[in-house]
Amino acid sequence: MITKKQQHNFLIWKICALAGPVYVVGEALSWAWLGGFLPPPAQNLSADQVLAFYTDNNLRIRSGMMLTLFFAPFYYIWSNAVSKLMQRAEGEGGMLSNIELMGGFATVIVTFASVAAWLSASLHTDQKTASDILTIHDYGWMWFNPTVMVTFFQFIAFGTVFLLDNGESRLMPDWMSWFSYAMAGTLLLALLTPFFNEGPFAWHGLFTYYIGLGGYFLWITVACYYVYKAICHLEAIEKA
Amino acid sequence: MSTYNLPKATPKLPGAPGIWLFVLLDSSIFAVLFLSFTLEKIANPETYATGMSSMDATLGSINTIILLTSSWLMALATQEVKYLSKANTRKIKLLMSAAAALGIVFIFCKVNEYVHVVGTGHTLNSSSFHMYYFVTTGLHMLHVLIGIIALGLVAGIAVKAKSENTQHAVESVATYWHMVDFLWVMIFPLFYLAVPK
Repeated sequence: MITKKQQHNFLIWKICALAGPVYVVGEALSWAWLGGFLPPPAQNLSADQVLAFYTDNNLRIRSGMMLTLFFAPFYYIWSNAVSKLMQRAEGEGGMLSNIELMGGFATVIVTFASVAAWLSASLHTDQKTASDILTIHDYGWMWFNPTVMVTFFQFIAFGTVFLLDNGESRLMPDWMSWFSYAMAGTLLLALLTPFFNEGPFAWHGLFTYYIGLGGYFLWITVACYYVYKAICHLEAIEKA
Repeated sequence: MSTYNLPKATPKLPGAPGIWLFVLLDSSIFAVLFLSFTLEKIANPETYATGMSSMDATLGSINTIILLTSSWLMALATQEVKYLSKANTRKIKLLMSAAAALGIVFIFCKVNEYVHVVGTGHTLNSSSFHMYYFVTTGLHMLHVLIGIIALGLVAGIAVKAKSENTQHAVESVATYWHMVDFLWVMIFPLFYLAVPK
């Protein structure tokens, strides 16, 4: 029999789990579409081209980045729901669920730092030189890409917890763990961005942007569905 | 030499079913990498021919033999673990340790090769060929490193336990190790042998 308090807990848990889809849709609309980062400004643009990007799309960038800052915290709210689910699988003393939670928070901080840089680049463009804007713009990308290890460990922790879960009622399908490992691998490609200005490993390249970042959003989208399903499954067990 | 009563063929894939999804996704990323490299090679044959002249095909051949041998040892371990109740766990551990040791030798050779290539003045940004060379072989080496750790863990923990999960674990790590071997078999001709005309 489930108590009223437990019922409330499950309701809040489900709401936290729904923060995942809000994050994915919100970021896609604000950062990629409105902010104009899909496709992103190429890494090999000259200072004058970067200045033109910020002056020609100024209001779009500012609005997009402001909304990105609004939607980013939904990721750690969702990570909290995932972390609690992982805790159920690994038990009270487990460490991997903490890595998931901290990784979720760190990913948001990384997003904040990069978006704050791009937002700064878009302010007072008439009082900055092209070189100033290029520096801030690059700084934003260096926060965005090479810091990917914080999210990498989240994916690894998630995969490992559910792979080692030998409980009677498994919360996640086995393949989801292996999918997490594969997607974690694609994230590593972002570590290469400081070495290339053009080509497939630059921040606008096929591997870093489309496969790496695409893999990140694909993983969250798939995980959102299975995390919500697992919470409903746990609730049904407790009700029975 | 031990003889086996071969089990009846079953439609079951060896190892955890999820490992095959991992193999598919991971190999797909390498496939895109190979395709991208090949298209660049066709577009810039002279640059790539010059870049490939800095490669040591003999060392590449040695590395190929090392990984193929390692994969063969792993296949023997998988064969042994099929009959877990009668299996010689010491033999399985020995075969897996030898496979992992050859992986370490592979990394040693690869690092030597990097030292040689960098010594001749080629780095990540020297040319398009060297960009692909360092990134592709570097990613592959990372896979070898992960494989060595996985082989060590399974040999040390799963085989020792001799539980029903042992066969599953050994087959899964073997599947991964064969994928690493297969990727190298693709890398070797692409980067060391197939010089564009």
